[in-house]
Amino acid sequence: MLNITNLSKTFGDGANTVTAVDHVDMHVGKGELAVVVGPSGCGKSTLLNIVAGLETKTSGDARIMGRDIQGPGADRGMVFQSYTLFPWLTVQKNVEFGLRIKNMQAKERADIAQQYIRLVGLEGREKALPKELSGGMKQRVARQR
Amino acid sequence: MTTPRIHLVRRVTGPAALSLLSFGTILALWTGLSWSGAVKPLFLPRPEAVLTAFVTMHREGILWSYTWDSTYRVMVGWSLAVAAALPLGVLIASSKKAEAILSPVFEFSRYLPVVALVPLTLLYFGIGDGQKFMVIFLGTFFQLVLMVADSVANVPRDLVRAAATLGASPWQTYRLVLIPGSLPGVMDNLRITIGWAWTYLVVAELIAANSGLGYMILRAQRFLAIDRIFAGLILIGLLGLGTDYLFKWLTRVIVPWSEKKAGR
Repeated sequence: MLNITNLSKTFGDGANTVTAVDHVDMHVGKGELAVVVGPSGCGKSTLLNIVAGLETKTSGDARIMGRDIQGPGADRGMVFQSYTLFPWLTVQKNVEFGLRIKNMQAKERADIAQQYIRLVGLEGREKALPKELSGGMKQRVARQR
Repeated sequence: MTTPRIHLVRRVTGPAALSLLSFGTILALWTGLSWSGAVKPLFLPRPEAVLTAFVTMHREGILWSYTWDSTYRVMVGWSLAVAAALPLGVLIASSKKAEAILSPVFEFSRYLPVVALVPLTLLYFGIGDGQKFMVIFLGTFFQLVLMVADSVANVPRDLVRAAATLGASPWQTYRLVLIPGSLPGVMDNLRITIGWAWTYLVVAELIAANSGLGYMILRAQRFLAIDRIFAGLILIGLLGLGTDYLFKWLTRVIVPWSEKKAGR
């Protein structure tokens, strides 16, 4: 599914070059769960950002389902370190966001969102705003989105 | 979560009380200085003289009509500035080309003293209300467009990225992320600039006006009727304060989700 071959990413130039990702190979098959661990500052976020399409690679190959990764897209969901929930949307509307992008009907969106909200034990809080949630709750909403 | 009762108690004994105390102290100082003769009546009218001026203005039938004329001019002039600044501000924030073309011109124009532009406004817009609107517009538009651009640009990049990873198109990003996300900042920009609009009232009514609070103040200047000048200034101040509170309230209503204290 996800195939990374000889991937490198450098920032800066000349004397100030920082190599964040250095010729990395990584393959994640369908249904697999992969975990990237490493000390702070070793390039984990950069690697993920390249996969998400939020960062460009310097050299090497990064493919999702055979297609070269060119930019962000709905085929690669990302949960951010800071959760990044939309503060003006309720829990329900945050979870519905991706479906709204696809122009799904309101009723259908609400049903699917409700399922996911129930999955993480947040039912009853659909109308809550992110500023009213605890960190753990925000994380759950971000994941369901 | 605070209960309504705790909220009420806090409101009565907290910052509001201090504000009243502050105004009260100024009033006391004013009364003391004028009644004691420390400052001559020519330079500082007695508080009761100002009160009398209000009553006289009312009897002359100009108190409400002038207030209305001035309010109308400020509101229309400022609204025109808002109507132009919102789309242009969003444009500048979203396009480097637009920023390069428009931003320097607006930055430059920001520093032009509006008073010096009054003769030009008379030339181009005549002596009617249109000219008054233009003065208010010129006093607020250039700052507002740059402030709006800033508010839009300050929407956290992570929110835009989150939308991108969920598959949003550029237009969807605008509609669903940038516009709602910039709302608290823009509401604040509106509140601040309408305050500035009030300060341009006297400039707007400087020439070719025959009504309005600014006009009244300018005429009172010629007769050294300082009690009227004070009355006019206080009235403009109160109107400005009024619109400020109105916008603070509007912000709370429109943007209840904001964690910023500015809209309090």
